[in-house]
Amino acid sequence: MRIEKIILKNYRQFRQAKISFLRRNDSDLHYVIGTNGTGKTNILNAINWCLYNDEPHLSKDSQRLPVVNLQTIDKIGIGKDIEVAVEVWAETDDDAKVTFKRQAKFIKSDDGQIIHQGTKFELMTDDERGNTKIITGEEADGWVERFVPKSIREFFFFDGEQLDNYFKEATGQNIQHAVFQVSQIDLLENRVERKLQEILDDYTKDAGKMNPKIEIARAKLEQAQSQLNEVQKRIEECKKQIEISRIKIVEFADKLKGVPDIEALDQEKQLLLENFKNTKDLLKAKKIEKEGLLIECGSILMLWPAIEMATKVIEEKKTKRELPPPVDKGFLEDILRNESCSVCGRSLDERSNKRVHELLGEVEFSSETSQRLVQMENPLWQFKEKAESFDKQRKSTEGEITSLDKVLNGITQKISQIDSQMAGYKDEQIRDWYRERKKFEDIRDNNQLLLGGLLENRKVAESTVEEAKSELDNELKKEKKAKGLAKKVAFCTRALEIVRSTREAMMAEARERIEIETRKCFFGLVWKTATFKDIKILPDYSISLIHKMGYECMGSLSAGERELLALSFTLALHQASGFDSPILIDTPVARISGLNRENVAKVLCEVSTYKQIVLLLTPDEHSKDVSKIIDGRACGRYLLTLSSDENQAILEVL
Amino acid sequence: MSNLKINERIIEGIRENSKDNKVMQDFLIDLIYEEAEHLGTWWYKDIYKKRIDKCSEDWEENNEN
Amino acid sequence: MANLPDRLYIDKADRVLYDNDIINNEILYGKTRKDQFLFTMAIGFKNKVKRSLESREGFFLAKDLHTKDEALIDIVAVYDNGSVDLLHKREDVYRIAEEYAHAGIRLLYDEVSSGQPGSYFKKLELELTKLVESINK
Repeated sequence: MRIEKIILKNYRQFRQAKISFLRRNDSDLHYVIGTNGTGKTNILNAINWCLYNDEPHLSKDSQRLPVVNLQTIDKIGIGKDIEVAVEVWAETDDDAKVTFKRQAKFIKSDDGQIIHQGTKFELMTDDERGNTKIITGEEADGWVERFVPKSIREFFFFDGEQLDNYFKEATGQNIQHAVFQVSQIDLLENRVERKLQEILDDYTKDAGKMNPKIEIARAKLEQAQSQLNEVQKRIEECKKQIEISRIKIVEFADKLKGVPDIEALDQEKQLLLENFKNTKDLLKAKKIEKEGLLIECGSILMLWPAIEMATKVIEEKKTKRELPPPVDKGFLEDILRNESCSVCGRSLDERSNKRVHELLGEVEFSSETSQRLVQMENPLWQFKEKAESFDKQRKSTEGEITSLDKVLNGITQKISQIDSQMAGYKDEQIRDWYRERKKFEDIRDNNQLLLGGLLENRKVAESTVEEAKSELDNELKKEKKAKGLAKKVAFCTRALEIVRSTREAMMAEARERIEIETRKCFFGLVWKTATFKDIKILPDYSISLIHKMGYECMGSLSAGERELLALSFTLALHQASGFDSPILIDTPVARISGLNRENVAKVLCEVSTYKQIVLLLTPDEHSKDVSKIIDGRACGRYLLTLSSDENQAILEVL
Repeated sequence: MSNLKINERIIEGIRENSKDNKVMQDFLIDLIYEEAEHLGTWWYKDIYKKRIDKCSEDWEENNEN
Repeated sequence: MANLPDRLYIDKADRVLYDNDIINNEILYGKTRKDQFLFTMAIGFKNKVKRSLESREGFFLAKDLHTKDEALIDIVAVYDNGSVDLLHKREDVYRIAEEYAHAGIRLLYDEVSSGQPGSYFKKLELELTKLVESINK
């Protein structure tokens, strides 16, 4: 189907306008040039308003204005009616004509306000005999859905600048839906298949009434089917969650690009602070140890002259034997008294007795002084040892203190580095982002795990369904009364199989075809052909763009690149679906620069050889280079300007 | 049949998977066009069952099984 | 033998110096009165200054002195006296120690009051290092 013409009456800037889109054999390309504010985007809005009763591309200024043309409001008298109408004249592939028309009535009140009186939507087409048929209500809406389904209109009538946003928000589920709608797979799945299944269920219920065994088999099948459906539902939900998580992860990854992991840095900082505290405590203990050493050795070293003198005196006394042998006086007196040795018990002879007396004489010469000197000997030796080891101990402790100081400095530097990294970022928000990303990573991982199990469960459920079907089939064949029903059941079952096989084949083909076409188109359009390696449409219909280094790089595309990808996908969708509806693009190359504009223009010219393309361009977009490419191919060229009071659009054929 | 466009691939697919069984092919293609004609709810059961009643008889004679 | 003195004394005026914040809580932190006394005695000895006590106040008990501590006190007395003859006169031995400690605490106090906080140990370390060098020569 293509748009033959659009007629606007009192719709926004357009008091009376007709835009025709006559085609040539080799091209169906048309464009309208207009600066911002002249009503270019409102052509897109007019089509939406006519077909779907909404205006999704209204500017902020237009939103405040009534849909009625301002000049008309101005000129019309109080109490008079105003009609706003948009007609979209379409022709089908077999040249049949369809006209979609929406009319809204307004009345101008006493205070000059415009009051809406009602809206009517109808379509006109020829019946089999060539008479005009007017269709309204649900049936008219049905025709619109067949022309361009509302749920996927963004792939047909779109604002080039917004396509990127739509594409960003389009999950695999949305894209799958678009693919299914455009290629009519949903017609098979949600309507023919579903209804055949319902009819089949009715037949088997009827057969069940004839024979309890059939009823048991039927009930078993119903239960098995229900379980299978349940598993399938859970699988879809899982996939949806995975998809949503995937998008969110990319979203947060985008936000966090170049942003430090605040949470991790903070944890590291806490550990460092603890380390710092422990090291500082250790350092303090070492310093106290050193001070203790200084005090202890200080006393000894400061008294060194006294130590030396005392040592010398003791040596002299020992040399002079003034220091007695360490024998107890009382011990010697006991020996003499007992006249026997207290150690071995031997009686004292004359010689021994003399010796003991001699010793006692020496001891008698020992004074308290000597005792003191004797007692002093060991401590003096210890003082000397201490003094000798002082320097070594001091240096060792000092070395440990220096090391600990270094460690502290190192920690302080690291903390400072972390603080620098974290400076300038809003901690809380970044933490939130990291937490959210982790949350979605967990959701994705959990669901992927769950999905694995569910896919196994589905295999089992499918097998159970097959067994139950076979059992029911056998029971039906056995039951003579159910012969007629058995025929119908077999027929329906076979019909369902064929529809399902067709659907599944189409789904796989559609995805593959779209992938091929998207790839072809994108690599034909994009300038960084060496950067990107491949495009894939994954089984869940999400789009994956592979960098030449092998990683996923959807998240790092520029706005222009995203738009090219979105455009490529849209064209691929049209190409692969076999669905023939026009494409209308408002500002197709606004965010694309230079050579790529020309690439887009070339691709659109190529597509226009088999599909209607209508472009709404700004003068900037219709540059010399672009016009060189499209002017020769365009069948219809219009210029849109505003009247002097800026309340009316003027359409001029170029 | 309406002048409404059905994706050719669907028609092809039905034909391929029906294994040249004309009864089944016609039945399904008719159903598809019928569905494409009607959007929203409609009394499909009567039409479906009538066609199944007729086609299942013809089909049994011709079926590939 | 005369009765052994049961305690060692400081000048009453020195109590406040021993209790000074820096001396008590930093330099001699954790040290017993005995150890504090021996350290100040060593300072006085090193600086060759001793002073008679004007009014005495018990500082710690003699029974707390270990052999090593007694040895330190004795060697100071021997050096001061020039001979070992007074070692049996404990009162005289303790008195010498007390006089050196009396001078030493004042020297320590003056040192810490005049210097930067934390500088005493640096100076002490330097001094002791020089002493070790001179001992090793």
